[in-house]
Amino acid sequence: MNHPNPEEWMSYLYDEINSQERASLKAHLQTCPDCAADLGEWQAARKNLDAWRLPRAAERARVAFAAPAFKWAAAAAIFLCAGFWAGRVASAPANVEKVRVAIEPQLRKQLRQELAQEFHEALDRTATATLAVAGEQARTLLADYATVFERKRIAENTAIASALDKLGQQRFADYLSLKKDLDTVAVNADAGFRSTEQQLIQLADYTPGGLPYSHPK
Amino acid sequence: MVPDWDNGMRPARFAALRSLFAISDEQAMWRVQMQEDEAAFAQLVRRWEGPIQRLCTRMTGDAHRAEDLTQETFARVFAKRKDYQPNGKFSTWLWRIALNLCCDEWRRRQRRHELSLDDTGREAAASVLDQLTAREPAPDESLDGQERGALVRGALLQLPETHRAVLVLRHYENLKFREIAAVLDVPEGTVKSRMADALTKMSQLLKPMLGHELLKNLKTQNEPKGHLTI
Ligand SMILES: [Zn+2]
Repeated sequence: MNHPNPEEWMSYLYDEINSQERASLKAHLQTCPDCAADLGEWQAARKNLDAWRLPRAAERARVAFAAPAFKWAAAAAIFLCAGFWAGRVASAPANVEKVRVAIEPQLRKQLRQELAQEFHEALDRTATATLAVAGEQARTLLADYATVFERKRIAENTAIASALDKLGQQRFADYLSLKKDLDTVAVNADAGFRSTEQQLIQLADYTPGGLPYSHPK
Repeated sequence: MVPDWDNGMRPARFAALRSLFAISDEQAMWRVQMQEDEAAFAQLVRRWEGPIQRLCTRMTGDAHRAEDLTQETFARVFAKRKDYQPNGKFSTWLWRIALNLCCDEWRRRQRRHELSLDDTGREAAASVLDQLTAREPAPDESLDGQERGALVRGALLQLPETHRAVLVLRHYENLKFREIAAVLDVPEGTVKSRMADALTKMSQLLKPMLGHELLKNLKTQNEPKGHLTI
């Protein structure tokens, strides 16, 4: 019998093949106990590998840090979907300006905190990395890396402050324009829903029996 | 229906919105390379420190050393920033740097006899096996998760580095065989055959654990109305 080679079985095991290849390998398994035994052994070993779990400390920290941006991304996704679903986007309504004024102080405050945290974390990390890495070779490698950060951190403290401020304003403007877009889409989506609803009601009136979704007999 | 771009969300706005949330690893690395951009570098560290630390832990079997190796990896990324080829994938380059450091570390430790290749694995395996053979397990006693983990860790450390690297990247970090081939700079077929060898070896090394689980399952099946075991 012509047995598929181990490389092919690895593609099968980790699902890196197309459905045609998969079908032919599967067919071979039905007729070949040798290959079936090999594959069974690999599958068992693979399953056992999952027993070694690692603590997720580092990952948790990263996720927590990414949370604010993530919330915005999620909100954007939801509103965008709503906008596409409704389909129609009319002109921007008057109350966007009111919403903007209402959220501005809160947004500004939140943004400042986020930026401050981000910079502190980056600087802390640098300091820790610089101190923690020992050994001649690592020291040489680090010198370059540390110099840039140290220079910024100590000698150009004021520059960072002003850069922070500038970046803050820039990102704040981005946030505002994003927020404005989201508001527009949200309000227009609402208008879209209402007009769709109206159309459905009209459709219902035209449909015999009055039910827009009734199945033909 | 098509959204009305003129009045609503214009493509340029949409692009600005996207760039607000995500610049690619390659873009970030390019900024590090050309402008020594700290923010971009911090972003790369944030995105990749978790995966790199996991890789180093699995390759060396030592979580504390892995923290240092992770920092060394990023220090080296920065130091060698001019070597990065912008047309290449950033992660491929990063994995390679981290793996090289892990291998250096491994060889250093072996030379110092601080921890020999065989001892680490055998010690871990032996301690678990001792516990298993010392007493007849009660029917409802399952091999504790930590013990199983230690056994797998010990077995992994007995593989040759080239095979361990393939197994860790494919199984734990979920890279495609093609990507692993790029990281290790070997043909894809070689990666797959190493993977098969690694799994065969793991299967042999973990047989005691498998055997134990089988025995346990048989016993549970014979119980009148067994509770669920994992
Ligand atoms: Zn066969």
